[in-house]
Amino acid sequence: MSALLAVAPAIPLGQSGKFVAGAYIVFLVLILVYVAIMAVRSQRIERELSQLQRDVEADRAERPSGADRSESGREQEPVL
Amino acid sequence: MPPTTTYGKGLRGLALATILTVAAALTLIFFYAPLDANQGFVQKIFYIHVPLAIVSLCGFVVGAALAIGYLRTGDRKWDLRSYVAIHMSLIFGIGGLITGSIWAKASWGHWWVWNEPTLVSFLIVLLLFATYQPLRFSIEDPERQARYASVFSIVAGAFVPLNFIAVRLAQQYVHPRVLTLGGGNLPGAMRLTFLVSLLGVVLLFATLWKYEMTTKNTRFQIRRLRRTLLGDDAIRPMGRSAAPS
Repeated sequence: MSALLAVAPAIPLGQSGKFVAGAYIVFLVLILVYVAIMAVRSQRIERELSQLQRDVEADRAERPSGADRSESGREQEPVL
Repeated sequence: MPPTTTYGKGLRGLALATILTVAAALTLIFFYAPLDANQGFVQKIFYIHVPLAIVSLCGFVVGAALAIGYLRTGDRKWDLRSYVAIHMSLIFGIGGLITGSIWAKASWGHWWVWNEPTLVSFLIVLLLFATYQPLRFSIEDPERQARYASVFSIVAGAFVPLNFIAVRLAQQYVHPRVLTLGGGNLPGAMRLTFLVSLLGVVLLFATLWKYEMTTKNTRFQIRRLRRTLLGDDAIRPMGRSAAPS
């Protein structure tokens, strides 16, 4: 990195430097805002997945135990 | 949407390629490409502004092509693909517009020039596609929403190349013409830098498109799974949305 900076031309930090920096910062900010929005969406998906897991577990717990037994019994029947 | 549709495959490789290309482009822009004789350092904005504008316009056309897929097949996944492509193009277009405005201020002393055909035509295209989301939001029925949005995006997408040709045929050339089908008049180092920057922005577009498709597709799959496991009553309505549901 230091070798790269050593061969780099001097960046003019006058009026033009501010405009160039502004343009590239706009690009960076757009990408960051987009990624932040997508991160919020990913969190929402994670919450929905957790909710689904809880609902499925609650649904299984609410089922009559006989139904579970008959289901498991059906699974254990030999296949002819 | 068929349950086998996945968009996350290859996303990591694509993201890595994007990071490497964008890093290479930034290195070339600031350490390799020579300073422009007329504009000096301000011309560096060219390497971000022009790729953003090109990718944005191409994205609108791609969105239109994907919308044709929906009208042909009636499969909602094409509508989703078209929606995300247009959505991404709008973001890139806004980036192109702002960076162009900054460049105009630095070069011409004005944030906006109304008698410049390229600027105004780009703004028209952007405003046209800015109505895409409100159009979708105004239609509640998902099937109608997808159909109307597809027709809109095809017509608006066809307008993009027509608009481009019209501007090229215009007599007043204030905007610099450095890119032509004949190779343009960019020096070799500048052309290489520009092409790498363009590739970086194209890859960024593709990565973000794939990322958003993966996210939306995952959400749809969770809802489908919930319906299968717990029944229709377990599904809360998504409510009115511009996004395909």
